[in-house]
Amino acid sequence: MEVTGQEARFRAMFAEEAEGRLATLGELLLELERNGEDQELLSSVFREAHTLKGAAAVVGLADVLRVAHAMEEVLEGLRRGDPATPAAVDALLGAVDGMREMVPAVLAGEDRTGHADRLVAALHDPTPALEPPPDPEPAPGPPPGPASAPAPGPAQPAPRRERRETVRLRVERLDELVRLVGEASAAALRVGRVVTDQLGVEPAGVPELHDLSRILESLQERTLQARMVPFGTIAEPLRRTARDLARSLGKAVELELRGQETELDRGVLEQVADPMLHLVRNAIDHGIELPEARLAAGKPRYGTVRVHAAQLGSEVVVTVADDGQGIDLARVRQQAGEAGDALDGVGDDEAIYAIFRSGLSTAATVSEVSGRGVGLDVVRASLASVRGRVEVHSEPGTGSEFRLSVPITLAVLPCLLVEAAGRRFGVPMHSVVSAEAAGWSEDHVEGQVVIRVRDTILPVSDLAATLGVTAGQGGAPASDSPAVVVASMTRRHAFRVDALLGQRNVVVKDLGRLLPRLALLAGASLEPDGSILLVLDVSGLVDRARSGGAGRPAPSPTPAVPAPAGPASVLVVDDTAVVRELERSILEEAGYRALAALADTPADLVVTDVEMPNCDGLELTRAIRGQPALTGLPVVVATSRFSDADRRLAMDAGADAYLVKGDLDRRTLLEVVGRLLGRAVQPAGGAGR
Amino acid sequence: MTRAILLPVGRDWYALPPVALQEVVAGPVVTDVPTAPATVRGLFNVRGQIVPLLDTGALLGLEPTAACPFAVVVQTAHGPAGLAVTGMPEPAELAWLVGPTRARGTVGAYAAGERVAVMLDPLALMAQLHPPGGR
Amino acid sequence: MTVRVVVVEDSPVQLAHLVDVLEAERDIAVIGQAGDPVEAVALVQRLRPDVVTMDLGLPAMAALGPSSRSWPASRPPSWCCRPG
Repeated sequence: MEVTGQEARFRAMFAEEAEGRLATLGELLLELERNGEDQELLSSVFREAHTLKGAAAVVGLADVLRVAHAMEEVLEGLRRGDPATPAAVDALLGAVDGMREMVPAVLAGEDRTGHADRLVAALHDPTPALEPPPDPEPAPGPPPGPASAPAPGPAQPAPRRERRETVRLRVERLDELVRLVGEASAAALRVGRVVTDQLGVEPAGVPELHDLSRILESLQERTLQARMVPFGTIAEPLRRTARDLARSLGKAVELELRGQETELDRGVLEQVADPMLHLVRNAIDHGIELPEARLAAGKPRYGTVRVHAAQLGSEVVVTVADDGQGIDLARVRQQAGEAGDALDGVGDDEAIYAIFRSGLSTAATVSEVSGRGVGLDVVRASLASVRGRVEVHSEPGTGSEFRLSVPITLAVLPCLLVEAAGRRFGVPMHSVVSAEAAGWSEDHVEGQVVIRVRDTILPVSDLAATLGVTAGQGGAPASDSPAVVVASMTRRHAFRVDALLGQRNVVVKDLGRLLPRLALLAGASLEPDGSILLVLDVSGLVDRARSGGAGRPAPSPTPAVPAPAGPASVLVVDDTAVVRELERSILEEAGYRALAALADTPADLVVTDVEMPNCDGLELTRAIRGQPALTGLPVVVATSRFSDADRRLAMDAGADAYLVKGDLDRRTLLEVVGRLLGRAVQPAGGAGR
Repeated sequence: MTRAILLPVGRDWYALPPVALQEVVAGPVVTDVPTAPATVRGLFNVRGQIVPLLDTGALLGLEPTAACPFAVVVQTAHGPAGLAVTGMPEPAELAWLVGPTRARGTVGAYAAGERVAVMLDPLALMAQLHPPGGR
Repeated sequence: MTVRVVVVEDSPVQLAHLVDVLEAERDIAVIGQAGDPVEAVALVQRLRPDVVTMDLGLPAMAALGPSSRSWPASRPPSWCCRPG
C-alpha cells in the first residue's frame, strides 16, 4: 500500500501520539481500578480514548479505531453508573496493551483485524479470567470508608497533566549537542595554550578567554541537564508489573512510589529501569507473603512495596523495600555451597550479597515469573554498567530493603584525584567512602593486611601495586601514605596512595567500544593541559585487590601466537637442580620448551621456587610484575611452604598460582600451567601417550 | 598501480590506502593504561579526542613495537584509533601483488619501488582486540 | 475576504489534519492553533479570529464552550463545533 509523503507525516505523528496516550491510559486505568467511581478520573480516561479514536480516524487505521471505540463505549457505561469490575478494567487494560502492539504493526502494513476483533469482543463481554482478587480496599491503616472515598495514605492522586511548553527532540540530536559542547570546551583550551605559547600570557588573565570559558562551562551544564528526565518516567511499567504479578500470585500488594520528580540522566534511567522491575518482581514474588500467611503473622493483609527515589549529592538513591518475609540467609548459604562457592567464614552482612550471583534463587519452587533468580544478577550487571551500586538489608519476618545508588549523570563525574606511582588517577566520588590522611596503623589479620578506620577493620592494598604500575622512586613507608576507602558494589576496601590531590568534576569519556572492556578502568578524561587522566572503576579495582593483589591483567587474546601455536616457552627457576630437572622433564614432555633464562627468549610462563640463596622467588615475581613488558606473564610459585600466610605473600607479590612442592606431581603442574596459558592439559604429543 | 601510504614497523613495511588514513601524529604523548593487553599501548590526545594507540606489531602477531615516534590515525566503525609506527610514513605506488599473506589483518604483499609492503586491513586488524568468546 | 480561524484540538494528529483541510481552502486562513482550552482562550483574546473550531464532545472543552465567560465579549467569534 503506497503512502504519500503527506500521509507518512501523519502516520509518524500518530505513532508518537498513540504511544503517549496509551501510556497515560495505562496509568489512569490502574488508578481507576482503585477509585472506580471517581467521575473526574472517568472523564480523563474517556477523553484519552476518545482523542485516540479521533486521531486513528485521521490516519485511517480502522482496526485501532474499532478498539478505541469499543473502549469508549465501556467507559461511557462506567460514567453512567456501570460498576468498574476488575474484569472490565482487565479488558480495558488488555485493549491498551493490544493497541500498543497493534499500532506499529498496522503502520508497517500488517493485518491485525483478528486481534482487533478479539479485543472488541473482550470489551463487550468481559469475563473474569483470574480469581477475583482480594477486594480492592485502598490501603491498610485508616479504616476503609465507602469505596468512593478518596484513597488515603500511600495511594497516589490521579496524575494531573502538567501544562508545560515543550518541544520534542530526538535523543540523538541532544547527544550531538552535548558532544559539540564538549568539543567547544576542548577547542577553547587549545586556544588558551596558543595564547600562552604565542603571547606569553596566562589564559586566565585574558578577560575575553576567561569569559569564554565561563560561558562554555554554563553551556555544558545546561546541555547535560537537558538530558535529564524524571524518575517517574518508569512509574507506569512498575505499577503495571506490580499489579499483574500480585494478581497472578493471589497476593495483596500496595506499591508506593515516591520521589517521581527526582531527575537523572536518561541514559542512567534506562539502565536502572530493568533492575527496578526485577527488584519489584522479587519483592512481590519472594518477599510479600500470601494474605493468609500475613494475617497469621500479625501483619496487615496488604503487603507494601515502597519505591522511593531521592537525590543525595551527586547521586540518585532508589530504595525498593518490602514488608514481607525477608531473605532466608540459611538458604542462600546452602545454595551457595551447592553451587560450589561456599560462604563459610563470610559474615551475614556480606553473605547476603550472594543473592546477586546467577543461579541462586531463594524460592522454594522456581516460579515462572522470576525464574532462577536470574533477575538479580542482571540487576548487578545493569548497575555496573552505569557505575552504580546496591546495598541489601534484610530482617527475617520483617522485610527487605534494596538501596540502589547511581550517579545522576554519567557525563560529568565528581572524582577524587589521587597520585600513585607518580601518576594521577581519578576515583569516582560516589564510590569513595572516605579519604584518610597519613598516620593510620596497619595490622595483620589472618595473613591479610588491614587498617582500622574508626570502628571498621578494612583490608588495605597498595593502589599502584594493584594496578601493576611501578613506583617512580622508592615508595614511602606505608603508614605515611594517605589511604582512600572505597566501596564497590558489595564491599569496602582501602587503598594506599602517594598523595590526595583534591576533588574535581571530570568529564569522562568512555574508552570506546574499540578497546576490550578493561575491568579496572571506567574511562578517561582530558585534563586542561591536554594530558589524559584515567578514571578507575572501583568494583574492578576491589575485586582485583581481593583476589590476589597485582595479578595478571584481564585475560586478553595472546596476540603473539597465531592459531596453530608453537610450543609455549616456560622458564623454570629453582636452585635445586633435581627439582629443575623434574619440572623441566614434565614440561618438555608436555611439549613446552623449558628455558634457562628469561633474557634469551621471551617466556610464556615462569615457574619459580621461593626460597633460593641467590634469588628470592618472590623478588623475582615482583620484578617480573614490575616490568611493563612482562605484565602479562603468568608466574607460578612452587614452594615447600604451605601456610596461608606464605600463599598470601606470594599472591601479593603477584604470583598467579601457588604450588606446594609436596604435591608437585605431573598432573598438578600441567594443569596449572595449562590453565594459565589457556591450553588443554594433554601433552602436545596427543592423549595416546 | 595503486597509491598507498607505507608505514614502517620495525624492519618491515606495511601499507594503507590513503583514504583510510586520517592523520599522522608525530611524537604522540602516550598515557599508558594499566592492565590493558599488550596490543594497547595506551591513549593519546588527538585534537581534543582521546584515541587509543595500538601496537601494530603486537596486533600482527609479531614482537611489540619498541618505540613509537609516529602514530597513524585511522577511522574505524567505533571511532578513531592510532597505530604505532616506527618511522615517518611515505606515499608510494604499489606495482604488483607479490603474494598472499597469512597474518590476520593483512591482505597481501605488494611491490612498492624497491620494497615489499604488506597491505593492512584496519578493521580485521582491530577485530583481534575482541576475540570471539573471550573477554 | 479571508476567514480567520483558530483551531483548537488536543490531538496533534487531528490538529494537523484539520489545519491541512482548512488551509486547502483559498479563503480560509488558520491564524492560530491551540492544544487545550486554556491556550485557546489566550489565543482568541490576542488574535480575535472570526471562527474558532473546537471539539465539544470532550468534557473539558465543553466547560469552556461558547457560553463560557472566557471569550472576549466584544466581537465574539463564531463557533464551529465538530461532533465528538
